[in-house]
Amino acid sequence: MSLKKVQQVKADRGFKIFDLIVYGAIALLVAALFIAVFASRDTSPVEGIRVYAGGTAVFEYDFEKGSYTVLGESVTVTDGEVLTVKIDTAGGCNVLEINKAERTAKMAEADCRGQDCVHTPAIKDNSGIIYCSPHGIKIVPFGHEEDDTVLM
Amino acid sequence: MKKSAPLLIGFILSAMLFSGCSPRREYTVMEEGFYFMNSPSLLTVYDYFYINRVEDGGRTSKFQQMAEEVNGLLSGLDSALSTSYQTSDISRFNAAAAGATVEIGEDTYNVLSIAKSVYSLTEGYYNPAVYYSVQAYGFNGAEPPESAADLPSEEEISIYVELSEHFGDLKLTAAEGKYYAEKPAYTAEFNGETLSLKLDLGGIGKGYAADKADRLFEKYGYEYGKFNFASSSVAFKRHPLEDNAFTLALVNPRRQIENGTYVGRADFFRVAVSDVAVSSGGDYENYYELAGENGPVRYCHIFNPFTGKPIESGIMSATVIGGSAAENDALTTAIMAMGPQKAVEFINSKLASKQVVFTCDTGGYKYYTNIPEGFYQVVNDSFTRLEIT
Repeated sequence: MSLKKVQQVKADRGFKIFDLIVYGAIALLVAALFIAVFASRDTSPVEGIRVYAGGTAVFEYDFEKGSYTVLGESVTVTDGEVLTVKIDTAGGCNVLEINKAERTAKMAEADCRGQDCVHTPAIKDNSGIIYCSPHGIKIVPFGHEEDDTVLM
Repeated sequence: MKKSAPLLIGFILSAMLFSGCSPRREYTVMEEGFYFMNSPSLLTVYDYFYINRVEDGGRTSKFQQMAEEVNGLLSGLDSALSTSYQTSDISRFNAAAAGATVEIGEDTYNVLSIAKSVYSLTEGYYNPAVYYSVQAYGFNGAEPPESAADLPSEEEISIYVELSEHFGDLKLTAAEGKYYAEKPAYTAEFNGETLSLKLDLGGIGKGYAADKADRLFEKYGYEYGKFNFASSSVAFKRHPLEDNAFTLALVNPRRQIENGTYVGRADFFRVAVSDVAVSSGGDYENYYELAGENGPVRYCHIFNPFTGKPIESGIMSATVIGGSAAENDALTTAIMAMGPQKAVEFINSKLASKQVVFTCDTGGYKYYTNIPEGFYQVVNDSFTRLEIT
């Protein structure tokens, strides 16, 4: 770069008006995407949850009725203020805790190495799902698009 | 601006990298609940859209428009078919004198046409003219008896059966956009009162509603979703995931209840379904028990038109898959009235185009189905296959 060019660059202002327009547009786009992602979540209160193991529904809890249904023999339930649901699979065991008063479902224990499901936030609205990939377990709110079982 | 150019190009390239070069396909689930015919129903639509195209602005309003149309059709059917409304077509028909001609709406005409067709197909095992028996046994808004001594007498029931046998004489006509039902001329006397034929379309109305809702999916361009009317009749479209099928789980009709809560598996049978109408009925849905000589006796809302009494055939539940939900709704009632032997003969001879499952209690819980093995799953060991030669 010639000395003349260097002096010209030094003389220029840091930000020209067009630069600011481009930066502003990018900032607006990022903000719009952020809002779109969070605004489109289904945050209605969860009506119930269904537990799938290996693609089959094995347990469901209805927050509206306050009742549960065991759909599979691999499930053991301990009733109380917090309902404890133990799910045994060929790959291992998970313990789901359902807080009736708070209307939440949280994976409390899993005997797998990753512990991803244990660290997944509790289901408290219709947007949340808890996966335990190593054990093939999925916790899905009623009415969620991944809930495909119809009981007749 | 020259300094900004590399930044701008970098941003555009990054956006393309993260979003993919082609539009990404996603879907959303939309649901709307209704309450008509004394039952809840749920419309579910899975709507695909391209996440990075600005073309889906009307998605929600289109679904709301469909939901409003479903609401309107359910309200209209309830007003036409329900015996709860004095002005309904069926109430006016029931109140009319024997031999009278009553103007009815198109939907009532269609439902009665299907009812007559299934009455004929089942040789009378489906008969919506069991109104008096249904009332006498305390169903459909009537008070159930407190003890077996309060049940209607054999003489009373035989009169109701005679009346219902004249359902085949009901005539339907359509002319110049109007529809009419002519009531059979037959009358019977009971307790000094002259009785004429009366109808109860509870065994077919929900199915007809599901059929009508099903057609709206096509009208609004939806391929994925379902309309579930009280888990009695469901119009299935396709499911957006995996093989596009829903899992239809059939209820174990003898689920155990402890402390007011069901225990054990809710279902006993599973089959994948898509783009099909399903109706299901059972003696576990609406029943009461009275003390009998050998223990409690179950009286359910499904009637055998030949005895005028709640079914005692041994069949606990029936499910019919395929064709029209209205037809299936009526067929489940007929199959339950037939009993296992007659039902198997009927299914094999008349329902080859449909898939049927029924359960019975004949010295242990049994199931029968004409669905080929390998296409369904029995998930409760208490149920074994019914073998009928």
